[in-house]
Amino acid sequence: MVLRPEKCLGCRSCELICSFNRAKEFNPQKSAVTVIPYDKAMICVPIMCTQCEEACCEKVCPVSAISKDEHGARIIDEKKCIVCKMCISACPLGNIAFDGDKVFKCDLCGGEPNCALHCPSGAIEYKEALPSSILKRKALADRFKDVFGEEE
Amino acid sequence: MKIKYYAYLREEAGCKEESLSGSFTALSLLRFLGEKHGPGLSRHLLSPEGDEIHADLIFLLDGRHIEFLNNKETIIPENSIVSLFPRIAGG
Amino acid sequence: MYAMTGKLLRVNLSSGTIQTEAIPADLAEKYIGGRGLATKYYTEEVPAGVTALSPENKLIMMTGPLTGTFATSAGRYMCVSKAPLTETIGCANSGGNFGAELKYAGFDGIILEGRSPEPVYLHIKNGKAVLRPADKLWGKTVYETTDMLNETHGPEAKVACIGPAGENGVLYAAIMNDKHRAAGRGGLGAVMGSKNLKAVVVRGTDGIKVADSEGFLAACIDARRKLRSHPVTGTGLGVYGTEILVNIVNSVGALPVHNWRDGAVYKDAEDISGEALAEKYLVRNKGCFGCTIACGRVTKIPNGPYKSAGEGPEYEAAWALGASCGINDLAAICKVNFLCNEYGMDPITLGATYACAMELFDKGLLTKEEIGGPLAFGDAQSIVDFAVKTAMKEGFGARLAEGSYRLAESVGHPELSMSVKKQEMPAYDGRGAQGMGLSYATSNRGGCHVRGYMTSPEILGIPTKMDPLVTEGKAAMLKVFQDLTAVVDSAGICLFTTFGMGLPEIGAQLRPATGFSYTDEEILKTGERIWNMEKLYNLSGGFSKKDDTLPPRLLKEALPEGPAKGKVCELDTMLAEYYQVRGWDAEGVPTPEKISELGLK
Repeated sequence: MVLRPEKCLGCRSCELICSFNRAKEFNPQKSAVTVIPYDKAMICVPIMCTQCEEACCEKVCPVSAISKDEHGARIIDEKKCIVCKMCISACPLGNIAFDGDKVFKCDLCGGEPNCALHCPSGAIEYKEALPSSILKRKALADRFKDVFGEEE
Repeated sequence: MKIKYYAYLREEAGCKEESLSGSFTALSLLRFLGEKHGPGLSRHLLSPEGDEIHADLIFLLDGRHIEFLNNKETIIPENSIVSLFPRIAGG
Repeated sequence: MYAMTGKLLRVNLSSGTIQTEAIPADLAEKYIGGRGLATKYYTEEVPAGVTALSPENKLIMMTGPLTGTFATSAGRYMCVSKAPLTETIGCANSGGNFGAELKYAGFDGIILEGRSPEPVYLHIKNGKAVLRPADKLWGKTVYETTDMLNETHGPEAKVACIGPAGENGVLYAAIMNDKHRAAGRGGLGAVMGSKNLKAVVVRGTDGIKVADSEGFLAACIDARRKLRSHPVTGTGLGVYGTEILVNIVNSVGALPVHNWRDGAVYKDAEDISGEALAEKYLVRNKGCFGCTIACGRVTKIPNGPYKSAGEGPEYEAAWALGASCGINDLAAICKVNFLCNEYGMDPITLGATYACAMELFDKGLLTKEEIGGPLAFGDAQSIVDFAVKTAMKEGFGARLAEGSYRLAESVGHPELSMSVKKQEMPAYDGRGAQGMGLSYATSNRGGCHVRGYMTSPEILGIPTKMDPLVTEGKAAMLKVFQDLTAVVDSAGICLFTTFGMGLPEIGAQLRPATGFSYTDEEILKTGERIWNMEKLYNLSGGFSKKDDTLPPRLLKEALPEGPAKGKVCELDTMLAEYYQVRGWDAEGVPTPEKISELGLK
């Protein structure tokens, strides 16, 4: 996931589609993504699970319910999960939550994250597998191409 | 005649306004401006085929919409002001 | 019930009692929600002769069925009451996040009755509501009040409140929410202030379910896609905001100058345009709840005498404080707009009242001593100086706080107030845009542009191009706009969606959300029902055909220059046709047949 908070409109469409996708209701409390508004700093920041390489949630789970899927997302196997909520305490970033029923987190929607799909401004984008520094390098390279390259 | 650009047409034209001389209809003027400033502007002025004024362009001749004058055949007098807006709104 | 919570909060501020009551499903189906439902409750419960600022008046806040869902721009809620400025039925619409949060807290709306003996605020959390003392909040600005309530009730709580303007009974005080959004016109903030109600704070963690999840999601995605691919709703409004209108309205010769006295072509329009704002002071754009259009302006004046930050200004505010006052200083205009948000009042009426005062001063009908300082066309500092004075009713500010009609009337010249039913007309000259003239004259809440936005076809060509200088076809088109707007205001979505989509997309979202099977035609009929309900209420309050008019300036003083040179507003022709199209008699009264057809009484 690539986050560009300077583009965030604060519209919370991401929260709506996430909660609806997961729980068939519109409820920001059940969304795995949250938009944090900063009034004085005049910016909004969308935050969701960062799919840590060294995932505390996975390490702490007593029943090994959390694993990595083929998209690099840490996913919770609901059949194994005993809802002990240790992962919620373990996550240093607050990106796992309990919705009254289940423990939930961002699972990248199986490879096509809905928040990115529906974000109107591109503040949330999903770029598979490429580290974002390469994307930024490419943006710079594009400029050289525009100036020096042949007309496309 | 003066051509005034508004909103993002300014970026594409590289200016807020310019002066021109010549004999134009609304359509031929847009073609001329499109050729002068490049495809970045031209795609907002003309339909993809280039034979009609773009449906999303607001073309005012001395403040009157050309739809209520003679559409693309409207003659642009020498001392007139042409105002070009992309379709925009507010409320 | 689906989409709606089915519950209303009824708060008696005199006795301090709070009850929850159910909304009958048939009412929800017949009136949709929001403006329609609130107006239904209001007109049934409050007699038309009520005094707006008395305890007998009620203030209703109401969301729509789509509010808080993934529907297009679904963050809107409505405030309905008698408007102190006009004494017509008043309704003011607002975005932000407050409306959605109210639904997550379990309520579609709130009915506020009576008057609290002491300043209070209403705290709502997940189905429970309590009145709390507001003595520490009273006197505080909108920003301070919101921050203090968030301190107490958590950062996720959403706050709707009044500022000092509402407390002091400024006749155009606004109800602000989320600090920068406004239910702005008509003075509903003063109604709230007259009830000693400082704020409503809401926190909700419940969710909204719809009748047909898959169908609803598909309809929302389709409509959102349409909005994102439309030039207005997809890029235009987000990049430039509503002020993008300044240059085009000016170019067609319909931007009124100097209290509409000096024509409608403003030589400095460029300085107050959306382009100028984007270039100089815009930090970024911002969206209300669920909105992909995101026309909000996050604005900062980094230095200079008007150094400040906040949100806005919108087009009509920029016109009122700008062209109408002959002011081209965008920083000063922004500063006054921020002050209006902070103190909680309508910048359109403020600016138009300033302009009226400036003309009265010019004519010698107001003296420098009375005013107590400069207040002249072109004086940017004066509009800043008088803003807080107006909110606080200090000195001459107390007279400005009454609006332009009462000010002009007090010096014997009510015709110099550019208002209809005492509410000032905003930023489109009805002589240069005939349909807008008709809209002002016939709006149920007085001089208002947004309830029948004829600018859309006449100047922008949406949905179809109409010549602004002619009267043909305007009455019929206006009826459609007025009815459709009533639908939008009742559904809980933003009016700006209609630049990029129409009734079909609204119906397509409403039906799977609520489970009601109303057709598009029936939905539009509901809009007509709501319009007529408002009209009947105004009529029983003593309004009549003679009030469906315009200031003499628009009817008699032809525009001196520009593309609309020589035009007056030809209201008579259009008005007769409008009454006909509406199915009203020649006096503008809905006929018994029309009333029965709409299922009204």
